[in-house]
Amino acid sequence: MRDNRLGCTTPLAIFASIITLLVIAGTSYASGSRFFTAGSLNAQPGREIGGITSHAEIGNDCAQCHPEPWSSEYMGDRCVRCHTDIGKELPDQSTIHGALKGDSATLNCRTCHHDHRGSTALLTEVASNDFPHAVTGFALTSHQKLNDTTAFTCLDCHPSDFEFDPTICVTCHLKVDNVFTIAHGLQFSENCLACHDGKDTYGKAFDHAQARFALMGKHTGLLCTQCHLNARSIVDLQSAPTDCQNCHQKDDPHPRGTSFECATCHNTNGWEENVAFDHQLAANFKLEGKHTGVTCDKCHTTHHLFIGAPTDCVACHEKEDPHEQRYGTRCDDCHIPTGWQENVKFDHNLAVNFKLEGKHISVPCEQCHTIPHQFIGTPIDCFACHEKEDKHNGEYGTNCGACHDPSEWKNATVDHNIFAFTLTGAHQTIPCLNCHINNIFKGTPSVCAACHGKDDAHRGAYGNDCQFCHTTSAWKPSTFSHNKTRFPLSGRHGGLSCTACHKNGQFAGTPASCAGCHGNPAFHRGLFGNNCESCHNTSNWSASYKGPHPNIADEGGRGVNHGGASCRDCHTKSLTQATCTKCHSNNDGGEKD
Amino acid sequence: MLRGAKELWLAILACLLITGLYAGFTVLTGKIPAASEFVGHTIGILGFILMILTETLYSLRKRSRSARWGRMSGWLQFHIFTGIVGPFMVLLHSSWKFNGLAGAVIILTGIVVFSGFIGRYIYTRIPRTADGFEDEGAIAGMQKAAVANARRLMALWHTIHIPIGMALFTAAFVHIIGALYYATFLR
Repeated sequence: MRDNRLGCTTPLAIFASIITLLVIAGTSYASGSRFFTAGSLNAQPGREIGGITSHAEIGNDCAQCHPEPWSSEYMGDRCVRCHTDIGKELPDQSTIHGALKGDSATLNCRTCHHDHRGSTALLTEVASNDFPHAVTGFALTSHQKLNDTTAFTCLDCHPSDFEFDPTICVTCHLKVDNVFTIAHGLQFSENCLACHDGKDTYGKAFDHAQARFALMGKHTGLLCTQCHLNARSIVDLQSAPTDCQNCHQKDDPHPRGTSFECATCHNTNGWEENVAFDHQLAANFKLEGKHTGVTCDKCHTTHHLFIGAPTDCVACHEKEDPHEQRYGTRCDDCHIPTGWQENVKFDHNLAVNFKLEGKHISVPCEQCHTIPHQFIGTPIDCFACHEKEDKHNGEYGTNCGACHDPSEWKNATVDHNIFAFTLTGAHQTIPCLNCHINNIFKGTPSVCAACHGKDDAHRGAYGNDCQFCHTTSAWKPSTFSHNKTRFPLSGRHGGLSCTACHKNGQFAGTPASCAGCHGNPAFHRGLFGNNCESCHNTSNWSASYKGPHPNIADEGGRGVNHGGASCRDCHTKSLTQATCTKCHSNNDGGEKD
Repeated sequence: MLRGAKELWLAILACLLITGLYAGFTVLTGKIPAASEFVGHTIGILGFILMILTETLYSLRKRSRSARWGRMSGWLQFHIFTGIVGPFMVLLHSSWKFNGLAGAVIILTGIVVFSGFIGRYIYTRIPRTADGFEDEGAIAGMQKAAVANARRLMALWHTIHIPIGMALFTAAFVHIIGALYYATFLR
């Protein structure tokens, strides 16, 4: 019968498996687990830790590195038990191990460090590209390929120890460029790491412009040491002064030196090449107008002497001064560099005791300053210029400004109060020439009639003393008081209009008698004459006749009092006629109806 | 039945190809790929998978008794191909270090492969059909003593080859567990 079981399930196969397991277990026990090792431990002596200098000295004590199966530790925990310094580095990313580990959960000691690869095998094996060498202060940016284009290995620079020996640099670079390396070492010492950080910060690709000082023109051809003399470190290189004087003081031909940077005028192409100086920025003398076209040596007459050149105008223009220095040395007070005759400016208001105002502003200088280039001493009194124009023929002296201002002759502002004839009322607003005919001021009469004669509504009836009744404010109302006359107004006369008595504006000669206005009333029929006031007064025209009355007895001494009747009760038409029947129906002896 | 040695030539070709890649990588990196690193590890894993296939697929096919899964001769050729290429890759995985358990596994692998070559030789002494069954017609033409001798050798070979193979895989699994324990779990 055919056995259909799988070979591995046959008793013999199972037996073989069990035997194999037993052999492995026995061998492992007997060898102290060395049976599982892939190779012998590293035996190269290093620094002493815990009394041993190599892993090989640990021997068969596997638990020194490998935790027991029941332990919660991992191999890395056992590593830092001995390598305590590395354990301290791991959390600190400024250290090599801290930077390598970073935040990675997968990186562990074994990622870079292996053992069981033989007694002489390297314990550390990490791809150079992965190693953050910059953490050491020296990046491998420029150390990726050897001169034969093969990749760098750690051993190329660290042949025996990871402590770096700087002479390695020189040894290797002598093969790369023997001449340069020797010269460079002599110039800057062989302590390469004092300046070089592996990024070529100060290598072939170094951009001098990044170091605050771009190399241009003739600077590009210089040896480094011509500026960086005795530099032995990055600090020395970086502290090289950038001012021109530091290197070029000995070349300075300017006799008194200069506070300027050479570069203010010169460029790196050569001392004499395109010497440029921005006079506008660097000096206290800006070049404008005709000064811009003047050659430097015209003002800076001493060769290479620029600072200290005088900036006052007469230093150069003294010979040209037609004013013979009467106006000092500041030509620019009046003149501009565009030209002596161009836009001559002078602030008359600031510099002299004669401010230009009004029409004086637009008057050409020579109109007042009649002698060419002679300004100081020009008379400032008005008459010096305006005498010919004086319309007053000298009547008011030479100080025109007492009345006139420079804006306009006509805008005279006379203070009339200084004269005997003060201006009041309407006189204040009328033009001067209304009174001062033909611009003749002196001798103008002060009496009213001199001007107002033609306006006199009284036709001279009251003489020339208008002010007796009128004020200067207006003709009307007049301030006339009838009480000051021989005919004071009383009673009903006070309420009358003037024209009621003074017909046709005629005041003088107006009769003062009652009859002058009231006449002889027809009622009186001439019985009482014109002595009206003997019976009437100005308050009540209705007079009370006190007798004697013909035919009517005086009653009780109280005048005519015929039963209280008034004159007109009986004398209905005139005093010469009387009727009784107005009161009495018949002549009944005095009985009334 | 096996005719010619096509599977052997294919196995040699595959081994040469793998060797070329291995050599190229070695030259490129300047060092032999370590068993614990990516290349060495990958070779070891793939080689062991091939060995597992060698051990299991042919054995299962033999017992299926059904032509549905392909002819026995084809599976035997596959068994021989993977049985050569797989161990060769495991050999490369060793990074040429043969100490400890890993070395023992390599040695056992070599023994099993050698045993396999012997088995193939004995196997071919008995005429078989394409499905791997003994070809009774052809056997009838042989000397009985020779046939009996071949059958006895085949049985003896099975008796030795299978336990050795089991010892190999047992040791290999312990090696894998050990590698996981120390290298993967970092204990």
